[in-house]
Amino acid sequence: MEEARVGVYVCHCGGNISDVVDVEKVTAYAARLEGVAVSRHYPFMCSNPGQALIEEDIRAGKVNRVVVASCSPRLHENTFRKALARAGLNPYLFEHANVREQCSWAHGAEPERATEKAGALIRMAVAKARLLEPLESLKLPVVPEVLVIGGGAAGLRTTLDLAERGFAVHLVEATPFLGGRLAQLYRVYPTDEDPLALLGDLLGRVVRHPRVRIYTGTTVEAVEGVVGNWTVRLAQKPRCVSEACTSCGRCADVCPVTVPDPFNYGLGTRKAVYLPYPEAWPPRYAVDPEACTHCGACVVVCPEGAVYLEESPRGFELRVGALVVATGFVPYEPARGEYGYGLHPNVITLPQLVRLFSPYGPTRGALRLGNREIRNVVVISCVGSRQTPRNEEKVNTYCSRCCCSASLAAELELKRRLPQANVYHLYRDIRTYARNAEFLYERAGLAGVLFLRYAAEEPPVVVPEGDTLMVRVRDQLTFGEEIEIPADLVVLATGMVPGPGAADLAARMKLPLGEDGFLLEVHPKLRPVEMPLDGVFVAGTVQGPKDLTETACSASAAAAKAAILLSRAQVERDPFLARVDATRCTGCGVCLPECDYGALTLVASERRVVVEAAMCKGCGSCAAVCPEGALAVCGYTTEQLAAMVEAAIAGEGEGEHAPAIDGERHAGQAGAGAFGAAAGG
Amino acid sequence: MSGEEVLDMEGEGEYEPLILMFAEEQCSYPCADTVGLARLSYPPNVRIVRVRCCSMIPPELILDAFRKGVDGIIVATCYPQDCPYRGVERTRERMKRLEPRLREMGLEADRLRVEAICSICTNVFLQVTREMTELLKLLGPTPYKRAS
Amino acid sequence: MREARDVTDALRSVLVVGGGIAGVQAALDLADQGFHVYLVEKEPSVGGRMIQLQKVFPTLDCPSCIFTPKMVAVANHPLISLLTYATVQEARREDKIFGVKILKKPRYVDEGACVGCGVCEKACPVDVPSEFENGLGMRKAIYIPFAQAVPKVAVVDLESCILCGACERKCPTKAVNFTQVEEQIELEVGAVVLATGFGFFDTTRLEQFGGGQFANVIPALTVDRLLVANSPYGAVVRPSDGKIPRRIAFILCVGSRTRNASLGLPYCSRVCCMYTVRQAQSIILNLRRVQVDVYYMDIRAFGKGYEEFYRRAVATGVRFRKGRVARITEKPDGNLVLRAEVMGETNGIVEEEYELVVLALGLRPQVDPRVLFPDLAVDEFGFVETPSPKLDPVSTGVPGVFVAGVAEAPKDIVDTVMQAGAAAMRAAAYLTGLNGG
Repeated sequence: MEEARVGVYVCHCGGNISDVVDVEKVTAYAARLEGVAVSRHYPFMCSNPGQALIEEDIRAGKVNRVVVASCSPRLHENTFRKALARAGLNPYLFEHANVREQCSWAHGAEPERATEKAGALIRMAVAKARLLEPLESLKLPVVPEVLVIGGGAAGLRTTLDLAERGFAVHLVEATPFLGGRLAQLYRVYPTDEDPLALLGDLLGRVVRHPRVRIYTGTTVEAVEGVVGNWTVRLAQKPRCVSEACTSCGRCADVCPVTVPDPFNYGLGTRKAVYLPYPEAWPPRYAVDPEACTHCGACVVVCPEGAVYLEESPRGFELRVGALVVATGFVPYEPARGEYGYGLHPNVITLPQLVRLFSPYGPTRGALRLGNREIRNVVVISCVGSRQTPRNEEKVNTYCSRCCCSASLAAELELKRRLPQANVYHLYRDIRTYARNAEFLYERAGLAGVLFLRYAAEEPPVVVPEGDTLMVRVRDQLTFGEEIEIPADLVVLATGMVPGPGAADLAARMKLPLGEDGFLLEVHPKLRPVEMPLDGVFVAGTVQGPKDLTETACSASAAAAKAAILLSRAQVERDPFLARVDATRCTGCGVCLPECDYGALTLVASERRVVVEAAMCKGCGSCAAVCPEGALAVCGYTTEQLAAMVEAAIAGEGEGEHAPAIDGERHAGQAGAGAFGAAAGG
Repeated sequence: MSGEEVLDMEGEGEYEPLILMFAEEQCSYPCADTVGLARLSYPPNVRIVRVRCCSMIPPELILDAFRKGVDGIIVATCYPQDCPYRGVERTRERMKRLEPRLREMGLEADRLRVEAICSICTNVFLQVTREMTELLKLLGPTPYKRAS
Repeated sequence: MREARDVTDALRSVLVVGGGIAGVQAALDLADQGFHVYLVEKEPSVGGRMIQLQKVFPTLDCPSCIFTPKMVAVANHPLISLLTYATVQEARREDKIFGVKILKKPRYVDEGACVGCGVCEKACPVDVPSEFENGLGMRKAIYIPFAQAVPKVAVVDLESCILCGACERKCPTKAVNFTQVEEQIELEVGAVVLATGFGFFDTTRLEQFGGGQFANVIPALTVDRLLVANSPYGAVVRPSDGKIPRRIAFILCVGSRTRNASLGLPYCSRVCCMYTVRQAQSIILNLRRVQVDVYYMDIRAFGKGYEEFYRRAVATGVRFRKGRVARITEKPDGNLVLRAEVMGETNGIVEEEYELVVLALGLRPQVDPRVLFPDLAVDEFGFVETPSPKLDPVSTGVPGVFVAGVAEAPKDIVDTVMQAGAAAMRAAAYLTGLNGG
């Protein structure tokens, strides 16, 4: 390393510094410090002429390290770095001394001591500056393609946004059909729109977009790489139905296998070869590999010869710059016996009720459960949400956000279809917080829905008595009356839990999960769609319960973050990252557990650790524990910190308490600190 | 109290403890800026070293600083939920493990203080610097000589 | 800041109206993608409502700490032109672009010369109630809006100024300039994001709560200014006599969720439950020996971590009482008596005395954006309508005009940040389409 020639520039800041700190004295003092080649002071260092002073000295070869003593680096550190760069000096050969906020402004009543402190701060900055090395910000290339994992509303929205923005998008969906939970709704509220029409519109634009590639029946096996450059290994299960399919349905007619239909949440059945609803996309049947017995009846009967039986998944790889996880949620499944669920066929969940409403549901939209006339319906809120922990059991303490509004919309639908029925809504709080959702609550009340409020500690009790379901609840709204309702139908407003994709991907990609099981974003307030892994984003309900509007916002916001990344040819990171001195590293591995970001790897065969700069955050936790001093954060090395510490302490002996151990004092310097008489120059 | 003792106390009043503070660029360092902005005062003998995260401070550096003659050290971290690097717990544990080493060196463990200071927690900043100064005055100067 | 007229390609430029968290986030998400952004804010500093808060729920982050880096980023971003103390007068559609006219009010301080030192404030002899402190503390006639203001530049409130010239004389950089005039700026952009934020329901309308005349009945935002680390009084005290209150009531849904037009508006303001729970808990942690009661209809703790936060507040000792408060009467000593019908532990009509009452006021949109876009659809409450609210809740009916934040509907910071990102994305996709992408 060349010999350091430090230029020190002390700012007056228009009096803000110079009214308190004797800037001439300080400048003269700095000139005498070891390593300082030039020492100047000037009214406004951040101004153009101020910066020009620095640039001239650099160009003239007088200085190759710069210290500016002025206001907080948070204001002008970048300004001065740019000045260095303009003059042809590496911008990281710069150090700042904060002599305004942390000196003249805080010690305005003690100008002598403030002056002394300013000198000390400059002494510290010079000591570090002498040890600074040129640094290059890290530049990583970016592959301008995205992988979106999950083909529900969130994944579709993100995909369309990014495709329209100009990027190639690969959309993978684990099941054979796109649409996710949106396809399973009957109406969305409070707009009362048809979800299949909304889905069809969005889906249509996605599948027609030239920059979109869709892979159904596909899951992520492994992800390797770094931000901007991911290699993803995927596995696609064979659909067993080719594009020749015309959706005539003969295969399903002859299929001997019948299973509970997951599209209808277990109400009704379907075959092992199926199309969940007429407008499903892709518009061809699919074989459910778990149910299929390989009898081949479908293969034979298909008039187009579109059906084939195939076992093995196809593996393939994609290289992308960013990943968006949008694997969604599943509704909470009540435990057997929970409010009578599983003990009586007329205790159903809200998602199941919605399937009964749907013309594509198990009863083709007839509201019918068995042969029973429905006179009394009881809807119970907060099933599987807002649970109180008991002992060590894992429960869902969170609120699922949409169920209140969803329940009220469903109740209005019940009243529409069964005007004579009594509908009771047993709740804890009505959380109709979304835009216009409050009016659902109003309308439900006006439609004659009766609301009863129960306390968390005293939930309603549902007891099957013969054919009827006796529901008992203590109601707070009638000041604690015990009410008993003989119900024909009990609907449990179940919450959301993360889909199986969440835990699976989290394990494969080392993504954090919250205590609630949903993917955990970097910062809940200000970075709600970013994962701690750079270049991985999250959209939709896999991050937490949301309604459709919130899902769309989250999906577009995740797309924005991905777009920011992909719109650059390179990703630039500041150079304050860890580096290893291979000559000192012994491969002891003490540093490894200190890194939360996976940036350190032990190459056992070579007995040394390597830093993956793209993963490193520069926190320095590893550097602090290295017994050989082999690890350091560039720009904050241990040597540099030690030099600052030493400079902070050195020169403080004069004028202050000199211990009896070695009592050399400079005469006439009591209270004047390190400066003594003013020196020339 | 005899006259001599009073004089001794006055003698100790001249001693201004030298305090080193490690401050994080996201929280405690901007807090020191905010203190200055508001023209609030604290002892001028506090010297601040800016770090990215306090978990980058090698524990040996702390001991070395004490050997070089600093009277007290404040390690000013973020609040755990604000820390972008999750280093607060690590820092606290490492500094705690230094306590027996300090005692071996003949120094009171209280000369090292770890405190969470957020970017606008000016009262915490003032309180900590003031308390540390007062404590160090009571404890007296470090037995280690400072190089001049 | 770059010269506002320095734009080379209008179709790669976006106007963001409003410099709160929504506008700032949208501006950053657009500029980071390479679009030029003009961020226009009517106040002298960006920050909006969020910068006035003491803490944010449920993380209890300090909003200053998490927001100021974004504010600074917006000021320093090479692709963002920040225009503060400015309003958009016109945004006229001309084929594919919008011709925008902006009026920049004179600060009477040269932005390039001012270094934010505050010497002018010390010199000024005039005291005026501080808007930033919600009327609690005072500011001067020449003032820097708040400590973390971006830009950190003083501004003269000419109406309160007595033109004594003290600031002009004292300013070390000669930045004070009373000859400044308003500036007309004209630009062309391809898209607009409306992020004009919100104000609060007007307490003076509520006669049964004192009509704004009871000294110790305060709006919720004032509580934040009392709790904040550098508050005007350094403590939570009540306005009438400076006493520390030991019995405090919070009333939810003030001005919200009612069909009675004299009492307020029918919609839910979404954030009041949570900010009240946060404030109630902060007060208990701050004052220790205090009884805090919250009168509510429903506690809408619906977001991530919100329910758990609510439970913790209950465990900390906040007493939640379900029931609406019908009336507040004031006693001569400044104490207040609340009359309410509650259900739960106690049942029936109660009258309770408190030393301080906090009203959780509802949110209302701050401006009517139809001033700029007459064709914009706006609902009866003034919130911007979006034709496809379920799958595209940021695109308005006017092509190229997008909306984010409370201008569209009440929402908290998380949902605002997400919606701002969404607005940025849709605007970016829209411009890409216009550019033939």
